[in-house]
Amino acid sequence: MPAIFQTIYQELCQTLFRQSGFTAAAEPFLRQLIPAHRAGLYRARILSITPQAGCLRLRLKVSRRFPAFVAGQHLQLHVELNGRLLERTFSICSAEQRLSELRELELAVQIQPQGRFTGALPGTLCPGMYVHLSRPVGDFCFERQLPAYLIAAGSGVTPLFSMLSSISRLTQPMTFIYSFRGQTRQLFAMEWAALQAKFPLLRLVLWDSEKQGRLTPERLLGELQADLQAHFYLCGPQQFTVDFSSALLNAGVAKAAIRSESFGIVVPPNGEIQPVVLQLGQQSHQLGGHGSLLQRAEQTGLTVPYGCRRGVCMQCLCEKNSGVVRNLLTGELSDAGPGRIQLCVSEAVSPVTVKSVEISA
Amino acid sequence: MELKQSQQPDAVQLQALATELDQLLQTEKAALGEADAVYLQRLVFWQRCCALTGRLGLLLCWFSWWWLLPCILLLALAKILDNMEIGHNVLHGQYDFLRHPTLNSQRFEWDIVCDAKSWQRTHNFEHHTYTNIIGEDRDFGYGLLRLSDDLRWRLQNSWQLFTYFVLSTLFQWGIAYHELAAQRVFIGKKKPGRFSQISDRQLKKAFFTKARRQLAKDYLFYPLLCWPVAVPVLIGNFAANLLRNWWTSTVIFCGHFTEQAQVFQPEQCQNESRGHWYYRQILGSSNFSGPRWLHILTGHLSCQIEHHLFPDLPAWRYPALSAKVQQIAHKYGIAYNTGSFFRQYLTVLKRIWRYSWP
Repeated sequence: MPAIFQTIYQELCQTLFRQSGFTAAAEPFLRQLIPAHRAGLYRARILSITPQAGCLRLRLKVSRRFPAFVAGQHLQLHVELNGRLLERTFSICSAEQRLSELRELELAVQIQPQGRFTGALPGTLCPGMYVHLSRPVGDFCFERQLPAYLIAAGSGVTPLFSMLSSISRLTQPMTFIYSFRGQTRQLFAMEWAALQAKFPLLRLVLWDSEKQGRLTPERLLGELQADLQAHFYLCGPQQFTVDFSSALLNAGVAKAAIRSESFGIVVPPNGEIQPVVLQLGQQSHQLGGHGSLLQRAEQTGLTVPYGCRRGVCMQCLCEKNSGVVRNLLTGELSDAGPGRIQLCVSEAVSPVTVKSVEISA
Repeated sequence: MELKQSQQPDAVQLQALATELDQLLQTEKAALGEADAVYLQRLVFWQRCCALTGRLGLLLCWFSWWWLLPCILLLALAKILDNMEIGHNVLHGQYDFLRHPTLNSQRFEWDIVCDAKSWQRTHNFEHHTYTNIIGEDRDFGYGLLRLSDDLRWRLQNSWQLFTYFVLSTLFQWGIAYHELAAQRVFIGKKKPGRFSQISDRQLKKAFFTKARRQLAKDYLFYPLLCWPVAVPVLIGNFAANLLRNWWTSTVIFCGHFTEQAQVFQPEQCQNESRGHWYYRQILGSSNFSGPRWLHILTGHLSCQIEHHLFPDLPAWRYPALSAKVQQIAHKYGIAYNTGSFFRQYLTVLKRIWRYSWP
């Protein structure tokens, strides 16, 4: 029954307002009443901004409408930069209880000085300003099965820190290993002592790789004597999680006991043909060939909407999920995050995934 | 009256022309940002205000029929803003860089019976790529009017001034049917070699879905919502649509069918350079001058030349660009066709009349 109401509601909104919903139609008016209102996104007010270890720690106040999250989940932070609404994905680093009790969230945004998004944040954001959040998603969550090893490298510590601070009571041993490069790069430096005091059963390993050398799977199993019966949560750069999970698997840890999440920035090698995945409707296609993404799609035998093939008519506009593309007209490089590109004037300079923008009937 | 092509610049000059115009585009693109977002949001807000007050106002018509008039004008204004300054420009992708979730070329749907996607296929691609090329730009005379000696005279051309008036009156339906006519979906024999990205079935479905929604909105839902005054509301909606049709068609005819707007042969444009493309866009379009509100009402198609040179630049920037474009055109000896609104419209009527006869 609700499905039918949903359909009727949508058809009515399409007919009367040519919009997917009433709030989208009323957005111009709502914006007059609620500053910075945006349909489909949650508004958040910046309470404080603290630079720490190359990151910006954003303390955000959200309304009652913001849904509950599970520690370890991530969300998209949307910020209006020079008129453009740009978004990037970040893990929540605060405890679940802070949201339910204070309606507060915290994100640690790693600043890449060259990045179009994070590079512009320090000069743009100030306390009192509004940013927008998507609903928290992701299945990298703490299962509360102990004993557990939480192993983080670099800014991969954020979701694990949220998991740790969301725990109210530890009844079994738990190990938290955080590897960082130098004291100046250590996140949450002020909070570790308090957490250690709160949980006597917690074994906290703050691994300064500048002093102690790189944390490798061998050293985890050797020096740190990891318990192979435990559950493992890994978060860090792609290479880190791949190395650790394969080493743990080889050492006899069950596959189901390892959970990992990774991030990483791709550095484009020159002149190589990059793998491109084009998602059309429900199907994903690996593109062969060479040239612009549109040419490659066609050489692969796909029918993609196009028009002018010179970057004017916008018919081949697609949603890029990730990867860097070069604009063939201007030579401009895109950033690595999501964005809209025209296939006819874009060339992949890193592995790219693009998705056709679905046409609503 | 013969349309004379001005002395055509040579390849080197065309190359220089392209470089200068590209440079102009680059400087303008670098300036895109906050101001465009603010302009678009404000515009949408005022458009919604007009639509809302117009529709609510129609409800009050029971105390005087005269009350209908300002409300119809408000509603027509809302529809004109939605079609021209918002719809046309957003669907061109001019504001895509803002990454607004609905005000972008893929998602936006306008208050007109033409399906936005269908319009993008015919207008953005066919018309903007092959502007004023005989036989390739079907927007040139819309297959109904003979506006150049390059087209064979037929008997029905003798009453084409009347045809023009009918087309103007039903303009939104003309645009909606434009792609279906090209594909000979309902009548006529398919042209060999004509390519379509979507099937006839999809075309028909999109056409009927959008037409059904528009008709239901203006002539069923809104009148029923205002039940005791259903008939005046229905009349009001009809009148607003009519006014919008006349206005949009007038503006569009002033953009390409003025007396001096030139046409091109397909042979001239084979493997054409970017410079020649620019050159053709300047000669094939015409501007008209007027106060700022007039520019906004036309969706800045009063700066048709700038629009055809830079179709994906936010349109409110065109008036500021036009002096520079005019200067560049003058430098290369390319005619820059502009004049007052009434003068330009008069030459449109003259042209339609002139080519009514062999």
